[in-house]
Amino acid sequence: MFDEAVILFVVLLSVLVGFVFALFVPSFWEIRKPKDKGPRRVMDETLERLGVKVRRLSGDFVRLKGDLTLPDGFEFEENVVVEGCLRVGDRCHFGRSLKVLGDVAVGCGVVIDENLVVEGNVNVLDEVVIGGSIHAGGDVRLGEKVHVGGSVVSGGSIELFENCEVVGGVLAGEQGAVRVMKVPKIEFPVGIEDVG
Amino acid sequence: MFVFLYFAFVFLVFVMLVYLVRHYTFSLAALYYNRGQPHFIRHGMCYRPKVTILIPARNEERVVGRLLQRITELSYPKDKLQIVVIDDGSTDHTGGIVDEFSKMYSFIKVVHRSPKDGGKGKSDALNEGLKHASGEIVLCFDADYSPQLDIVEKLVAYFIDPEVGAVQGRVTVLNESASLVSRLVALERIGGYRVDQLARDDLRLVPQYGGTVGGFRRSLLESLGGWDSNVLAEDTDLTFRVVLAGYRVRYVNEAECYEEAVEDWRAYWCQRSRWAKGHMQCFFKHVGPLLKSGNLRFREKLDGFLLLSIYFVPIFVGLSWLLGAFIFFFAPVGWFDWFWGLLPVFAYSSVGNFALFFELGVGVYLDGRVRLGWLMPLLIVSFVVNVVICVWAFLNLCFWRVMRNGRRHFWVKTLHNGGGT
Repeated sequence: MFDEAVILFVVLLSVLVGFVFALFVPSFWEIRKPKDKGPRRVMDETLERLGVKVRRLSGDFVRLKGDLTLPDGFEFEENVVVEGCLRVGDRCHFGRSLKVLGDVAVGCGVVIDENLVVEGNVNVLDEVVIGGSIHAGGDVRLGEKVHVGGSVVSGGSIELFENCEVVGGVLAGEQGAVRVMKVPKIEFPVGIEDVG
Repeated sequence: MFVFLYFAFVFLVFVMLVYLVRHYTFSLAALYYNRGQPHFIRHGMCYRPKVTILIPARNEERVVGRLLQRITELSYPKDKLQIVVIDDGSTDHTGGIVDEFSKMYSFIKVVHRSPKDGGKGKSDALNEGLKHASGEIVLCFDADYSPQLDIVEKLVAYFIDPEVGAVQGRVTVLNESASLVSRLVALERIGGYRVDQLARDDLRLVPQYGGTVGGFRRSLLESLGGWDSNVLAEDTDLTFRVVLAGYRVRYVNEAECYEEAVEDWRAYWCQRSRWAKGHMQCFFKHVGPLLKSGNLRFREKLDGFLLLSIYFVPIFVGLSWLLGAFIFFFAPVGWFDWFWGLLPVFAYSSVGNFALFFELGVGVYLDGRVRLGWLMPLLIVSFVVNVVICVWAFLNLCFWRVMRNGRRHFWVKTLHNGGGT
């Protein structure tokens, strides 16, 4: 009933439409993808599942008992005191100060609006922003491009990269030393120039 | 009857032994242990939150100008400093003097209270001042004090720690050489601050906010409802409210401030009886919540209990003197020999609220003021006076409860005459 040419035309048109549609599938996929809403507020139940005991005091103060590993992208609006050791995941946000009675490891891209007070050792990874000061009873190590709005005072040694920024000064303990490390140069494969 | 007296005597000796251990522990801690708590003084150079200093003043014309002049010389940035002077219904020239300073310095604000509204006590005046405070941290100074120039930086640095709700600096006597009483007060201050407070801080116990040369986070103070006007020892009361709320009080030995000590026994009596009554009020108010609190560790509860009970100890000592003498002369001869009878007479030196010989000895040694230690035997006089004061204060408190049915106690103001300048 149909002419062969018509059938061929329809097939070719369908392929073309299909091809065009397939071209836009990744865009639709990207648009439909769930958006990153930024750091999520930590619920007490979540913390208790992580094995710590939570006590909230007078509205803006939460006390966590036990060692804790905080997943990436979590947020606290209040002052936080951790009675144990703490490992903070990447891109977490602390709206007030953080105090840790043990050691602390702070992940990349974490923001602490006020102060970081630690009775043990501090290990801060890259691109962390601390609005206030760091006070540590033990050693302090700051990663690359860390910004500290106040001072860094340590009972032990302090290690930091030369591209860190500490506004208020750096002071190591009596037995410690301050060591500024060079940023490691990236080795490019032969034939590719370092344009940075 | 003698069996009952024996038991009472043993109980009193036990109480004294508990305080003996306490004072020994504090003395040894002050001498050998100073690593218990982080010290934040070194952050003072860059941590600069907005600070409000409250200065309540009632008829302080002889001293308030000296304090305000000193305040204008503080090294803390003036754009981060707000001074609120509360002229608490003064009838002398205090209001005029503070107004003059307020005209000259924009960061000094004066709140005048009429003689009708004012004069109801320091707590009322401070609460009035708190309404005008805008600083993140609120510090308090009495009008007769003379602070170090960098005292604000030293006190404020400790608020870097989010656990810290209040701080207390060290009080030193300015007019030490004025009289025997002021010398003895100076000795008591050395023991109380250089040893007692410092050790409590280092041992992570409960250092006491002393009502002046100290401060709070304003948010915490407001959430606690400010100062309690019904308690004569508003400082001790606030210390325990802060601690029970889950915060810590820190003592900063390096933050020194000079005070004008009382110079005669009459003023000493008035001041100490107010302290004794206030402390006993705090005992009845806080002892239950303290022992039940989930925010405190056992040793903090124990130290808090001993601190709250401290003005009862001179009463116990006085009782043990009487009881020991009575048993010594009238009891049947037996196990109770002269040694036991005389024990409480000599034990006075190890107990009491003024941290007698052990702490004072360590204090004058640490301060390098050994000559002042030669006055220590004279402390028996002030101790006997304190026994009488505490007994009187206790009876007065009981009488007030029964007869006045909860009405407020009168605030007896300590007079200052500008000595020691």
